[in-house]
Amino acid sequence: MRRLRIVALPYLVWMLVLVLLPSLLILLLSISDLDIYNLGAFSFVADGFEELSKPLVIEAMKNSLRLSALATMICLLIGYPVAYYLASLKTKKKTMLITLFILPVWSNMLLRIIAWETLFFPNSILNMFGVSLNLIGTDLAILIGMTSMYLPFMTLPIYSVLEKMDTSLIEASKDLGASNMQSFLKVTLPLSLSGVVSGVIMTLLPSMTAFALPERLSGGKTLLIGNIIEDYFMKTSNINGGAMISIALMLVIIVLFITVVHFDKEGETLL
Amino acid sequence: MKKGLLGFILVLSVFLLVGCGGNEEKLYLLNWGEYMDQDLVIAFEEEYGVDVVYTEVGSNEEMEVLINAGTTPYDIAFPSDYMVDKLASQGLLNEIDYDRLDALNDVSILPKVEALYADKDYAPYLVPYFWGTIGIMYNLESVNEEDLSGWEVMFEMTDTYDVGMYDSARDAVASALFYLGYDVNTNVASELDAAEDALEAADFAIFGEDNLKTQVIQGNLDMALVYSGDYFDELYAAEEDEREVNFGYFVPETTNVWVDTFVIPTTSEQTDLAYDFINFMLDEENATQNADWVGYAPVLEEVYAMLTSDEYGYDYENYNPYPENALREMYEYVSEDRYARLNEILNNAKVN
Amino acid sequence: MSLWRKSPLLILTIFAFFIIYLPIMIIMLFSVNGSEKDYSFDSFSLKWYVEMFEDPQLFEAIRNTLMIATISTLIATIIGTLTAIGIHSLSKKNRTNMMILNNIPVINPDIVTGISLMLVFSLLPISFGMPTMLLAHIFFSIPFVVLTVLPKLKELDPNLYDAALDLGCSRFGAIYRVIIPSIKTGMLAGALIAFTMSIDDFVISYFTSGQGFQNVSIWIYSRIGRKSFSKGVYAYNTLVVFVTVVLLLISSRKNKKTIVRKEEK
Repeated sequence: MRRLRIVALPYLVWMLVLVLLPSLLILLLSISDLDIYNLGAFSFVADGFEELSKPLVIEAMKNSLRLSALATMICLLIGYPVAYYLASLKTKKKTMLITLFILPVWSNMLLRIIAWETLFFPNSILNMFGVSLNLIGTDLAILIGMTSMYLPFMTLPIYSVLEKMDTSLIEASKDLGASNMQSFLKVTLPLSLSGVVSGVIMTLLPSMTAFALPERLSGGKTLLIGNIIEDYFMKTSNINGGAMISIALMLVIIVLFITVVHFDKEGETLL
Repeated sequence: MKKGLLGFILVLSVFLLVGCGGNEEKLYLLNWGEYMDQDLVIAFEEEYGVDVVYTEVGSNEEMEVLINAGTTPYDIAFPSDYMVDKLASQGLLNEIDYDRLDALNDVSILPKVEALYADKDYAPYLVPYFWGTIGIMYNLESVNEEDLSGWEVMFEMTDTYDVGMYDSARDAVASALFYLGYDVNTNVASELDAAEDALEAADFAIFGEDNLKTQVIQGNLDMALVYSGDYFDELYAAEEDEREVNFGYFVPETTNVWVDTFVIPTTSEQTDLAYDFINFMLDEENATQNADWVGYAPVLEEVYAMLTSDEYGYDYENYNPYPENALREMYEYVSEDRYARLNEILNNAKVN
Repeated sequence: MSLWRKSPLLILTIFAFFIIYLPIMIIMLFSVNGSEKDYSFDSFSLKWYVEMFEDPQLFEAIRNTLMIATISTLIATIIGTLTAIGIHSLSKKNRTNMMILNNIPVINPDIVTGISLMLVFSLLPISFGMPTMLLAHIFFSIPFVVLTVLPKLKELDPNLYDAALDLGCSRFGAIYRVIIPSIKTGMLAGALIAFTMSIDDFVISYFTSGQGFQNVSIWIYSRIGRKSFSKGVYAYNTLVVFVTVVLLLISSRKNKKTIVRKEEK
């Protein structure tokens, strides 16, 4: 098998060009006044750091961390039991059920966000059922939206791990005198951690960088870091400032990533 | 079986790939969504034997990003007034040779439209396309029309009414500047600060774009800042569905008038074809058909007269963007810093 | 588990399904709404399903989306699998380094990846449009395939490959006959994820597109601004869900049949 490692070489080159090169470019943009549209002479400036200290940016970063942490927790609290339940089913249909659970992900996210938006206004299609919600602009709306979008991402990895788990281990633990709860806490939970870690990462990361969702469901009032970055690149065309904020975001994400992966003592979930 | 499936998909992909692409000349357009009758585009393709490649965007800033990126050789773009200013000042536009616009021998541009840009630096770079205003769309059932005296209804009556603000820095700040009585293109720090205070103090229900007009009709908003085009889109849709119209459009005495334009960016590689296209769209019959399809106010005198006549029946109140005795101000680009400040004002208004 | 334990979990699961499917049901409702606008449900109509094919921009966007998703998934799965095999054969240290590189696109925010790719592509002699979007989709799909195939490779008995070589297989033959069958489920999972990521992608596609080449997400985004969009897109969305559900039911029926047949033997 050793000799096959040469197959990985082209990939190395591909990734170096498409990942490392632009990363360096973005780094350069953030600490200089290089004009991306007219590559030429440039000088190093510290303007970028000013952007990071703007109250709007700091507020947005705080909002992102807060809401994505909450959303991830909610998805975990709902997703884990659901994954457990689906994995424990004896029916042959359980693969179909889990696939049905994932299906909505294939449906366009923007459209689903717009669908939620219409439901959160007091006058909506829900009035037909005597229901009227007035949640636009609230954090609850954003959390419900995020949960709806990301729950499948949290549930699937946990389900795959639980599904493959050797049930005889549980039986053994019960034979040895542990209660159901103890068996769960000491056997099932630790073994499923790698799935939990994957699920958390697949939820935390997209929710940190979301911009369409908060824009629509908060009525434009809650700005997340994704909105700020979009502003810089798409509205004010401040590419250099945007690059700096992007790098700050990436650093935050890397820190979160390393923290979360720490829990997967089993080994190589993503590394 | 699996191999068969794989093979089938490969063949299908190749087929799809081959299916798209032609060897004809291509004309690249950069336009807003639903802003041109596609039948006319097809007619042009057939008459000239070319392929029109149509890219759609949702904002002027996006247009700017795409033109700047230079990755597609756009021949014609449709930016608004201030964006023409900005693009021209960056050297990204070709001057329009009006001598080549033969169509203008048979039609003429409305004098009021021409007056808007005639003395501007960027006048040589554009041909007007459509024009309109910004104003307040309101729900007839929940708003007392007596309250609609001016811009103050949006800033001072947010306790009584649910007001929606447009999520566009230029338009939002403009409404505040109009309300305060300042020049809409002012760059005086104290005036912009005052606008910021006014926007922050007003408690807007939401900041939105296309959803504003929808929510006014649904009754979730009492009123909102919209483009004249938004209002007319809804009006026409209601007429088509034969639904009762429960909304109106109020234009304060002083407001913004915007002009969307044809421009030929320097990325263009088919400028001759571009002129052919502009002439084609300026042809009276085509322009009339287009104005009927798009629904916004046309800029050509003959077309305007035709549309407001009984035959087409577009003589709605507020269809004319610039009636007599009205005060109108057009946006100017001014500078990048100013725009950054405008954006900051809007973001602060959202957050506070 | 006792039935008593199951009830709250069952309720929670139903609630979870509900919260995930509610927006889809609303979209379905919109797709059969005869009225031009969303908020009043006047009549039941299938006209948007027709409109989907008649609006040239929308139809082309749909065709582009499906085409890019299919091709990029195919290519990414093949390349990803081979790469995973290569990475698996590396020493632990090299493997870790390669995996860090592999995971960067997964962790990066879309907008950073999108802009990065745009920057790199603009330096290459490649025209923006379908080729660049396709490359971009392949780029972000491969890491997922690697991530799903690698664990399966770990479960593989390392001696099987060498045994195959000893028995006279060529290297590719050995890969094809020994390795691939065992990692098939990993490949399929990776392909599925890749397809999913591709079909819904907006930000990366937006920055790597050009020449009027649009996918559905870009099309929606371009309509959301000053103008409104055709309800045909709701029809498209509902159809996607319908088709996948139908395919799902068909494939689960097929599995039942093969099980029954095996039992009959």
